[in-house]
Amino acid sequence: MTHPSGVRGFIFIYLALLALLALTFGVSFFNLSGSWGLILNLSISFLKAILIGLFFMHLNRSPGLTRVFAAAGFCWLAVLLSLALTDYVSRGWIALPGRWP
Amino acid sequence: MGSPLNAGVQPQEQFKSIEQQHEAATQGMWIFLATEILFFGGIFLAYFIYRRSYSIGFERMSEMLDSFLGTLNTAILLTSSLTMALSVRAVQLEKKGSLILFLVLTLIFGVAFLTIKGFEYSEDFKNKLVLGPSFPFHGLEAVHMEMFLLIYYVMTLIHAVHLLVGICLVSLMVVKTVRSRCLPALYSPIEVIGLYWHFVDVVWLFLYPLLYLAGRPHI
Repeated sequence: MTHPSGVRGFIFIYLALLALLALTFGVSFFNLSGSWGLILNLSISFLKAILIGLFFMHLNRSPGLTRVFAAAGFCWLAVLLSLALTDYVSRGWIALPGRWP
Repeated sequence: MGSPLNAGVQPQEQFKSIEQQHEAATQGMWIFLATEILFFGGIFLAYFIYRRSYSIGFERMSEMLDSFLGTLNTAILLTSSLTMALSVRAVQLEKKGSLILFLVLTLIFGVAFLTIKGFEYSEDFKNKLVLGPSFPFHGLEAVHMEMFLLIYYVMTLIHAVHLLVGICLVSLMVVKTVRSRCLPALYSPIEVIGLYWHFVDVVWLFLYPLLYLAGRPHI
Protein backbone atom coordinates (compact mmCIF):
# COMPACT_ATOMS: atom_id res chain seq x y z
CA MET A 1 0.00 0.00 0.00
CA THR A 2 1.93 2.93 -1.28
CA HIS A 3 0.99 6.54 -1.06
CA PRO A 4 -1.48 7.36 -3.86
CA SER A 5 -0.28 9.29 -6.90
CA GLY A 6 -1.61 12.75 -7.63
CA VAL A 7 -4.57 13.46 -9.89
CA ARG A 8 -2.48 15.75 -12.10
CA GLY A 9 -0.06 12.93 -12.88
CA PHE A 10 -2.91 10.68 -14.00
CA ILE A 11 -4.42 13.40 -16.18
CA PHE A 12 -1.03 14.13 -17.73
CA ILE A 13 -0.62 10.43 -18.63
CA TYR A 14 -4.17 10.38 -20.00
CA LEU A 15 -3.47 13.39 -22.24
CA ALA A 16 -0.24 11.75 -23.42
CA LEU A 17 -2.23 8.61 -24.31
CA LEU A 18 -4.79 10.65 -26.26
CA ALA A 19 -1.98 12.48 -28.07
CA LEU A 20 -0.42 9.15 -29.06
CA LEU A 21 -3.83 7.93 -30.28
CA ALA A 22 -4.19 11.09 -32.39
CA LEU A 23 -0.67 10.48 -33.73
CA THR A 24 -1.55 6.88 -34.74
CA PHE A 25 -4.73 7.96 -36.47
CA GLY A 26 -3.06 10.98 -38.09
CA VAL A 27 -0.13 8.96 -39.43
CA SER A 28 -2.57 6.51 -41.01
CA PHE A 29 -3.55 9.21 -43.52
CA PHE A 30 -0.02 9.29 -44.93
CA ASN A 31 1.36 6.75 -47.31
CA LEU A 32 4.24 5.08 -45.53
CA SER A 33 6.19 2.68 -47.66
CA GLY A 34 6.14 -1.04 -47.00
CA SER A 35 5.82 -2.23 -43.40
CA TRP A 36 6.77 1.10 -41.83
CA GLY A 37 3.16 1.97 -41.06
CA LEU A 38 2.72 -1.32 -39.18
CA ILE A 39 6.02 -0.90 -37.33
CA LEU A 40 5.15 2.67 -36.33
CA ASN A 41 1.62 1.70 -35.23
CA LEU A 42 2.87 -1.18 -33.10
CA SER A 43 5.60 1.00 -31.56
CA ILE A 44 3.02 3.62 -30.58
CA SER A 45 0.81 0.87 -29.12
CA PHE A 46 3.77 -0.41 -27.09
CA LEU A 47 4.47 3.09 -25.83
CA LYS A 48 0.81 3.44 -24.75
CA ALA A 49 0.91 0.01 -23.07
CA ILE A 50 4.09 0.97 -21.18
CA LEU A 51 2.50 4.24 -19.97
CA ILE A 52 -0.60 2.37 -18.78
CA GLY A 53 1.47 -0.38 -17.15
CA LEU A 54 3.80 1.99 -15.31
CA PHE A 55 1.32 4.60 -14.13
CA PHE A 56 -2.24 3.24 -14.25
CA MET A 57 -1.23 -0.27 -13.17
CA HIS A 58 1.27 1.15 -10.64
CA LEU A 59 4.26 -0.84 -11.86
CA ASN A 60 6.43 2.25 -11.26
CA ARG A 61 5.91 1.80 -7.51
CA SER A 62 5.28 -1.94 -7.25
CA PRO A 63 7.59 -4.34 -5.40
CA GLY A 64 10.25 -5.98 -7.58
CA LEU A 65 8.57 -9.38 -7.50
CA THR A 66 5.32 -7.95 -8.87
CA ARG A 67 7.29 -6.40 -11.75
CA VAL A 68 8.90 -9.74 -12.49
CA PHE A 69 5.43 -11.34 -12.61
CA ALA A 70 4.24 -8.60 -14.97
CA ALA A 71 7.28 -8.99 -17.22
CA ALA A 72 6.94 -12.79 -17.33
CA GLY A 73 3.83 -12.74 -19.52
CA PHE A 74 5.47 -10.45 -22.06
CA CYS A 75 8.67 -12.54 -22.08
CA TRP A 76 6.70 -15.68 -22.96
CA LEU A 77 4.76 -13.72 -25.57
CA ALA A 78 8.06 -12.60 -27.11
CA VAL A 79 9.21 -16.25 -27.23
CA LEU A 80 5.91 -17.32 -28.83
CA LEU A 81 5.93 -14.59 -31.48
CA SER A 82 9.64 -14.59 -32.32
CA LEU A 83 10.11 -18.36 -32.61
CA ALA A 84 6.91 -18.88 -34.60
CA LEU A 85 7.55 -15.95 -36.94
CA THR A 86 11.19 -16.97 -37.45
CA ASP A 87 9.80 -20.18 -38.92
CA TYR A 88 7.29 -18.51 -41.23
CA VAL A 89 9.62 -15.70 -42.35
CA SER A 90 12.52 -18.00 -43.16
CA ARG A 91 10.52 -20.63 -45.04
CA GLY A 92 10.78 -18.78 -48.32
CA TRP A 93 14.58 -18.60 -48.15
CA ILE A 94 15.07 -22.14 -49.41
CA ALA A 95 13.16 -23.20 -52.49
CA LEU A 96 11.40 -26.42 -51.62
CA PRO A 97 8.44 -27.86 -53.50
CA GLY A 98 5.16 -27.83 -51.65
CA ARG A 99 6.04 -25.32 -48.96
CA TRP A 100 3.26 -23.16 -47.48
CA PRO A 101 2.11 -20.88 -48.94
CA MET B 1 5.41 -0.93 7.35
CA GLY B 2 2.90 1.34 8.92
CA SER B 3 0.10 2.47 6.68
CA PRO B 4 -2.97 4.55 7.38
CA LEU B 5 -4.92 2.15 5.20
CA ASN B 6 -4.65 -0.96 7.36
CA ALA B 7 -6.52 0.47 10.31
CA GLY B 8 -9.39 -1.84 11.11
CA VAL B 9 -8.60 -4.46 8.46
CA GLN B 10 -7.23 -7.79 9.59
CA PRO B 11 -5.30 -9.96 7.13
CA GLN B 12 -6.53 -13.48 6.45
CA GLU B 13 -4.77 -15.97 8.66
CA GLN B 14 -2.22 -17.21 6.11
CA PHE B 15 -0.76 -13.70 5.75
CA LYS B 16 1.57 -11.90 8.12
CA SER B 17 0.23 -8.45 7.34
CA ILE B 18 -2.34 -6.68 5.22
CA GLU B 19 0.50 -5.43 2.96
CA GLN B 20 1.62 -8.99 2.30
CA GLN B 21 -1.94 -10.02 1.53
CA HIS B 22 -2.30 -7.13 -0.90
CA GLU B 23 0.98 -8.03 -2.62
CA ALA B 24 -0.14 -11.64 -2.98
CA ALA B 25 -3.44 -10.49 -4.51
CA THR B 26 -1.79 -8.25 -7.12
CA GLN B 27 0.82 -10.88 -7.98
CA GLY B 28 -1.93 -13.47 -8.40
CA MET B 29 -3.70 -11.12 -10.79
CA TRP B 30 -0.50 -10.60 -12.77
CA ILE B 31 -0.10 -14.39 -13.11
CA PHE B 32 -3.64 -14.56 -14.48
CA LEU B 33 -2.86 -11.66 -16.83
CA ALA B 34 0.25 -13.53 -18.07
CA THR B 35 -2.01 -16.42 -19.13
CA GLU B 36 -4.31 -13.88 -20.79
CA ILE B 37 -1.37 -12.31 -22.66
CA LEU B 38 -0.53 -15.73 -24.09
CA PHE B 39 -4.20 -16.47 -24.83
CA PHE B 40 -4.54 -13.28 -26.90
CA GLY B 41 -0.96 -13.78 -28.15
CA GLY B 42 -1.97 -16.89 -30.06
CA ILE B 43 -4.59 -14.94 -32.01
CA PHE B 44 -2.16 -12.08 -32.63
CA LEU B 45 0.33 -14.63 -33.94
CA ALA B 46 -2.31 -15.98 -36.35
CA TYR B 47 -2.95 -12.41 -37.49
CA PHE B 48 0.74 -11.72 -38.19
CA ILE B 49 1.26 -14.99 -40.06
CA TYR B 50 -1.78 -14.48 -42.28
CA ARG B 51 -1.13 -10.80 -42.82
CA ARG B 52 2.31 -11.66 -44.24
CA SER B 53 0.82 -14.01 -46.84
CA TYR B 54 -2.56 -12.38 -47.45
CA SER B 55 -1.53 -8.73 -47.19
CA ILE B 56 -3.63 -7.40 -50.09
CA GLY B 57 -6.83 -9.12 -48.94
CA PHE B 58 -6.17 -7.96 -45.37
CA GLU B 59 -5.67 -4.35 -46.45
CA ARG B 60 -8.78 -4.32 -48.64
CA MET B 61 -10.95 -5.76 -45.86
CA SER B 62 -9.48 -3.48 -43.20
CA GLU B 63 -10.37 -0.44 -45.33
CA MET B 64 -14.02 -1.46 -45.17
CA LEU B 65 -14.14 -1.26 -41.37
CA ASP B 66 -15.15 2.03 -39.82
CA SER B 67 -11.83 3.43 -38.61
CA PHE B 68 -13.55 6.48 -37.14
CA LEU B 69 -15.65 4.35 -34.78
CA GLY B 70 -12.55 2.32 -33.95
CA THR B 71 -10.64 5.48 -33.00
CA LEU B 72 -13.58 6.80 -30.98
CA ASN B 73 -13.79 3.50 -29.10
CA THR B 74 -10.07 3.61 -28.36
CA ALA B 75 -10.46 7.09 -26.87
CA ILE B 76 -13.41 5.87 -24.78
CA LEU B 77 -11.43 2.94 -23.41
CA LEU B 78 -8.46 5.19 -22.58
CA THR B 79 -10.85 7.48 -20.70
CA SER B 80 -12.29 4.51 -18.81
CA SER B 81 -8.74 3.56 -17.81
CA LEU B 82 -8.25 7.05 -16.38
CA THR B 83 -11.44 6.84 -14.32
CA MET B 84 -10.45 3.32 -13.16
CA ALA B 85 -7.04 4.62 -12.02
CA LEU B 86 -8.83 7.46 -10.21
CA SER B 87 -11.15 4.91 -8.54
CA VAL B 88 -8.13 3.09 -7.13
CA ARG B 89 -6.79 6.43 -5.91
CA ALA B 90 -10.16 7.25 -4.28
CA VAL B 91 -10.24 3.96 -2.37
CA GLN B 92 -6.66 4.56 -1.21
CA LEU B 93 -7.73 7.93 0.13
CA GLU B 94 -10.95 6.41 1.54
CA LYS B 95 -13.16 8.89 -0.29
CA LYS B 96 -16.43 7.03 -0.68
CA GLY B 97 -18.24 9.64 -2.78
CA SER B 98 -15.55 10.01 -5.41
CA LEU B 99 -14.96 6.24 -5.42
CA ILE B 100 -18.61 5.63 -6.37
CA LEU B 101 -18.46 8.46 -8.93
CA PHE B 102 -15.34 7.14 -10.68
CA LEU B 103 -16.53 3.51 -10.62
CA VAL B 104 -19.85 4.53 -12.18
CA LEU B 105 -18.03 6.65 -14.81
CA THR B 106 -15.86 3.64 -15.62
CA LEU B 107 -19.02 1.57 -16.04
CA ILE B 108 -20.58 4.19 -18.32
CA PHE B 109 -17.50 4.30 -20.57
CA GLY B 110 -17.36 0.49 -20.67
CA VAL B 111 -21.01 0.24 -21.68
CA ALA B 112 -20.53 3.05 -24.24
CA PHE B 113 -17.70 1.08 -25.82
CA LEU B 114 -19.84 -2.06 -26.11
CA THR B 115 -22.79 -0.05 -27.49
CA ILE B 116 -20.64 1.49 -30.22
CA LYS B 117 -19.13 -1.91 -30.98
CA GLY B 118 -22.61 -3.42 -31.24
CA PHE B 119 -23.69 -0.63 -33.60
CA GLU B 120 -20.56 -1.30 -35.65
CA TYR B 121 -21.39 -5.02 -35.87
CA SER B 122 -24.88 -4.20 -37.12
CA GLU B 123 -23.35 -1.92 -39.79
CA ASP B 124 -20.97 -4.73 -40.76
CA PHE B 125 -23.95 -7.06 -41.13
CA LYS B 126 -25.80 -4.50 -43.26
CA ASN B 127 -22.73 -4.18 -45.49
CA LYS B 128 -22.63 -7.99 -45.73
CA LEU B 129 -19.20 -8.14 -44.14
CA VAL B 130 -20.13 -11.54 -42.77
CA LEU B 131 -18.58 -14.92 -43.40
CA GLY B 132 -20.83 -17.22 -45.36
CA PRO B 133 -22.75 -17.48 -48.64
CA SER B 134 -23.79 -13.79 -48.64
CA PHE B 135 -20.16 -12.61 -48.67
CA PRO B 136 -20.12 -10.20 -51.62
CA PHE B 137 -16.61 -10.94 -52.94
CA HIS B 138 -15.35 -13.90 -54.91
CA GLY B 139 -12.05 -15.42 -55.91
CA LEU B 140 -8.78 -16.09 -54.15
CA GLU B 141 -8.55 -12.60 -52.65
CA ALA B 142 -12.03 -13.06 -51.17
CA VAL B 143 -10.70 -16.07 -49.25
CA HIS B 144 -7.97 -13.85 -47.84
CA MET B 145 -10.49 -11.16 -46.97
CA GLU B 146 -12.63 -13.73 -45.19
CA MET B 147 -9.61 -14.79 -43.14
CA PHE B 148 -9.20 -11.16 -42.01
CA LEU B 149 -12.91 -10.96 -41.15
CA LEU B 150 -12.70 -14.20 -39.17
CA ILE B 151 -9.77 -12.87 -37.14
CA TYR B 152 -11.60 -9.54 -36.73
CA TYR B 153 -14.72 -11.19 -35.31
CA VAL B 154 -12.85 -13.63 -33.09
CA MET B 155 -10.56 -10.93 -31.65
CA THR B 156 -13.20 -8.25 -31.10
CA LEU B 157 -15.78 -10.69 -29.70
CA ILE B 158 -13.31 -12.21 -27.23
CA HIS B 159 -12.28 -8.70 -26.26
CA ALA B 160 -15.94 -7.70 -25.80
CA VAL B 161 -16.53 -10.72 -23.55
CA HIS B 162 -13.54 -9.67 -21.44
CA LEU B 163 -14.91 -6.14 -21.19
CA LEU B 164 -18.31 -7.52 -20.20
CA VAL B 165 -16.67 -9.47 -17.37
CA GLY B 166 -14.92 -6.23 -16.32
CA ILE B 167 -18.25 -4.38 -16.34
CA CYS B 168 -19.82 -7.07 -14.11
CA LEU B 169 -16.89 -6.87 -11.68
CA VAL B 170 -16.99 -3.05 -11.52
CA SER B 171 -20.79 -3.16 -10.96
CA LEU B 172 -20.21 -5.55 -8.07
CA MET B 173 -17.68 -3.10 -6.62
CA VAL B 174 -20.18 -0.24 -6.89
CA VAL B 175 -22.69 -2.27 -4.85
CA LYS B 176 -20.03 -3.26 -2.32
CA THR B 177 -18.83 0.34 -2.00
CA VAL B 178 -22.33 1.66 -1.40
CA ARG B 179 -22.87 -0.95 1.34
CA SER B 180 -19.37 -0.72 2.77
CA ARG B 181 -18.63 0.55 6.25
CA CYS B 182 -14.93 -0.15 5.95
CA LEU B 183 -13.47 1.11 2.66
CA PRO B 184 -9.88 -0.16 3.23
CA ALA B 185 -11.29 -3.71 2.94
CA LEU B 186 -12.17 -2.90 -0.67
CA TYR B 187 -8.69 -1.66 -1.59
CA SER B 188 -7.30 -5.00 -2.77
CA PRO B 189 -10.38 -6.04 -4.82
CA ILE B 190 -10.59 -2.67 -6.56
CA GLU B 191 -6.87 -2.55 -7.28
CA VAL B 192 -6.97 -6.08 -8.73
CA ILE B 193 -10.07 -5.38 -10.85
CA GLY B 194 -8.32 -2.20 -12.00
CA LEU B 195 -5.36 -4.26 -13.21
CA TYR B 196 -7.76 -6.46 -15.20
CA TRP B 197 -9.56 -3.43 -16.66
CA HIS B 198 -6.30 -1.78 -17.78
CA PHE B 199 -5.18 -5.06 -19.33
CA VAL B 200 -8.37 -5.29 -21.43
CA ASP B 201 -7.69 -1.70 -22.51
CA VAL B 202 -4.10 -2.57 -23.51
CA VAL B 203 -5.32 -5.50 -25.64
CA TRP B 204 -7.58 -3.10 -27.52
CA LEU B 205 -4.67 -0.68 -28.05
CA PHE B 206 -3.03 -3.41 -30.15
CA LEU B 207 -6.23 -4.59 -31.85
CA TYR B 208 -7.05 -1.06 -32.97
CA PRO B 209 -4.15 -0.40 -35.39
CA LEU B 210 -3.98 -4.02 -36.57
CA LEU B 211 -7.67 -4.23 -37.47
CA TYR B 212 -8.72 -0.69 -38.34
CA LEU B 213 -5.57 0.92 -39.73
CA ALA B 214 -4.10 -2.00 -41.72
CA GLY B 215 -5.67 -0.83 -44.97
CA ARG B 216 -5.00 2.85 -44.73
CA PRO B 217 -4.18 5.21 -46.37
CA HIS B 218 -6.91 5.61 -48.96
CA ILE B 219 -5.17 8.55 -50.62
